[in-house]
Amino acid sequence: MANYVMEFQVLDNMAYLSHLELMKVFRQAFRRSGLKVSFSEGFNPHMKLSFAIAKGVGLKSTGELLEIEVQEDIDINKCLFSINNSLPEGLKINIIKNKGSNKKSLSAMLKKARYSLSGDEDTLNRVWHKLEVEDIMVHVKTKRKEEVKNLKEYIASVEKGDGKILITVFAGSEKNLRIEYLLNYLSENITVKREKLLNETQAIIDEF
Amino acid sequence: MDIRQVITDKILAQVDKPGRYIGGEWNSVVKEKDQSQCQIAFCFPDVYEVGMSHLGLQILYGLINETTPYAMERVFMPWPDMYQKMEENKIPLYSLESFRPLTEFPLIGFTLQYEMSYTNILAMLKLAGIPLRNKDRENDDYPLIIGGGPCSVNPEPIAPFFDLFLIGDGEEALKAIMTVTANYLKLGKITDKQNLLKELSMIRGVYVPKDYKAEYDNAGKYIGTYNFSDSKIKVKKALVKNLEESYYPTKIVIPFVDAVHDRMMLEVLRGCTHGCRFCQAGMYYRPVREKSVRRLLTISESLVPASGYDDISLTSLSTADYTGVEELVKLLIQRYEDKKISISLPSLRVDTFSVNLAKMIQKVKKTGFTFAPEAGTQRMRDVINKGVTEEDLLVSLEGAFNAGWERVKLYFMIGLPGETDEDIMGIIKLSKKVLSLGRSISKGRNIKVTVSVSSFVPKPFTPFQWFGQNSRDELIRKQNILKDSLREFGKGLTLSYHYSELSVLEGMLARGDRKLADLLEEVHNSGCMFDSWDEFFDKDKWDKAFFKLGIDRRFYSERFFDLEDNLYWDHIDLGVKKSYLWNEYQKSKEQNITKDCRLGCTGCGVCVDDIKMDIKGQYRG
Ligand code: SF4
Repeated sequence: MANYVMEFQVLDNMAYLSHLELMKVFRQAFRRSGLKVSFSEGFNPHMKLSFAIAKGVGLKSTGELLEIEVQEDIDINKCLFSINNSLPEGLKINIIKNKGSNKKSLSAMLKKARYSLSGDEDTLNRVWHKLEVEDIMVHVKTKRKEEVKNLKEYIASVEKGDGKILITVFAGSEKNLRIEYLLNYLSENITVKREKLLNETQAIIDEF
Repeated sequence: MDIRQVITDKILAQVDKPGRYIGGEWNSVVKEKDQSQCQIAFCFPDVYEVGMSHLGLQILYGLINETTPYAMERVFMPWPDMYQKMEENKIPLYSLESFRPLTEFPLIGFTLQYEMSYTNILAMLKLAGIPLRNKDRENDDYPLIIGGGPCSVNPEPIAPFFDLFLIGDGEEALKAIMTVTANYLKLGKITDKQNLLKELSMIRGVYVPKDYKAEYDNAGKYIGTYNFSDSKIKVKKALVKNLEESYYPTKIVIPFVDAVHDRMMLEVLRGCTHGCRFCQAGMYYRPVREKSVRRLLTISESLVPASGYDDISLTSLSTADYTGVEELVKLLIQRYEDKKISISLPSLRVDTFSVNLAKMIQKVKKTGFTFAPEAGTQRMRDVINKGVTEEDLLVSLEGAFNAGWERVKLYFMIGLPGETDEDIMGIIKLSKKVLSLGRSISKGRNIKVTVSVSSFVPKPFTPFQWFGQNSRDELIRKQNILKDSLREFGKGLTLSYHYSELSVLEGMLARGDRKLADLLEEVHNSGCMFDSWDEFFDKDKWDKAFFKLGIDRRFYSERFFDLEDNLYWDHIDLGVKKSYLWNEYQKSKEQNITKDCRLGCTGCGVCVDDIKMDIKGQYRG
């Protein structure tokens, strides 16, 4: 038995799959690739597969994470190739790493997420200013409650990149920003992409 | 307009389940237009999840794309939210493979699975910008609109909307249609449509409705539907003679959005020999043709790794009849157990053998056990020729309860020919017995019996095609009897039944004539779609259309035909003799049963010349 972490991309129209649909695609792709994933015991065995975090419908990403338990050690390069050959266009594994002795789940490690916002120069300038303000108070409504939130409290850092803005927000079980709230507030014609999932200090994938 | 671009940029974020509209599924095949010699858009007039569960689609899709120089692409009815967005943004209905509008295909094929999907067909044509009636599509600019599938046995209510129907098994006939059409294409467009139709009409199974005229006498009584050139011409159904060697898809398209049946389907046989008198599929798919265990194992060997699914379902009208079923199930379990691939049987007979089979495969006790006694009394079961006794049922259920099942579903019908209130009460009595049996065996476990009661709809090419359907009020009255008496013994039994309004419309369309096309167009114009979905069915709109056109639905649904009457579908020939069906109808009135024809031919007339029942092993009976 061994555990592996995979970083993958969700591009093009694959972004429109729901979290459950995406999980299904991976389960099927693993089967097609011949990867021997471990199963849970019991009447209704499940593949031992979990994602660091669900991704909103419509959001593209180059840095999603999943972990699996497999029955025996794998040849990482071969596996990368065969899984990618079993995935539909728009989904791709970037890198596979052995999780080693690290027992912490990805979702427990997750603290932040980095997004890129791109668009034309004027738009990005406006976005920059909108992000510079002291407080970003928004009214949010979930199934359970309605409240006013200061989105600024959820933003860890903002920086200008090459033709885009990179914004790092808190993510995970303790403190989580749904990026849709921020996009609603900005209400600009920009393209958003999730770039990386991070722990306190660095990209989670670099931990392994 | 780049349809893909507009859909992606403007629309997908605003609709429910956008995965329905993006294409790109595993094993979907995109052929560039100039890489194929003829193209067909296969249209399923219902939502993606329903359409992608359809085995016929996967068979034809694989057949055309894998084994011919032609191309098939898929189109489904957009859910109302998407439909509206597409209309607002002037996006024509497009195919999921190439995102090309339907008008760019020379051929468009609709599958006709249930009558209540007819308005969706019209809604799809409208969204595609294609005129509804064949007479408005005579010039070469428009594709040929083809219909196929079970409802094509009486296509008259929708005949004016179609250029041709393909009646019977689609595999060989569709290939022939595409081969002929390819010769008439120039730059992807049809040339000389009229001659093309003439040539297509020679293919077995093809019915070109505009070549036939429905005639009525002065008093308005129906005389018959005749071919203009030769009044004796009947349309014979197409048939795959050798199912064993016939193409079967292994690289099936895997939907992103969960389909209703989201698993591998192994078609073990086609047809059914029980001869239940209400069952249209049983007559349509005759004679029974089985595949060998060896062939099925070969298929599964490619199907499993190409799909990534974890469930194999052995499909057919009656899988427990398959002579190789035990061996096949054993071998499949052996091969795939450690891959955690499960085997399932969707349709089971009421007998202990079936229960034992189910025990072999159903590790999951949570899923319920389904039985279809169809009627509540022995008298009624003899009328419909359902060869099942109460004892059979109880013995099987005892087995199921003993094996640990807690949830049982029983299927019944009401509104059957010759039914009395006693027969209705029989449903209650039987269900009650099942519940008590379960409780006595289960000792404290929570037994749940679901009683699902549908309203009988007489269908063409069955012995009951002459029978007038119960009126809506009568069906409601019978449903109320069930409801009242079920209430008496409370929890443990749940009742579900069909909306009788819909059953009547279904009955009208199933045995309707060409005049009903006006009605369909009228309700379509008033915005009806997804009529089979309770939440979208709009009774008011239908009522208004009936009133406006002066059509009486009950004239069709409740009509009893006589032997001398010409039936609206008499110009179609499924092979089963009309005299056989009539004889069966008469026998039903005497509760006289007809045996399973695997035990000896009962003379329905399908098997002639080289068309034969094809059984691979010893039948258990
Ligand atoms: S001809 Fe005889 S054997 Fe063939 S399907 Fe009909 S009843 Fe069965």
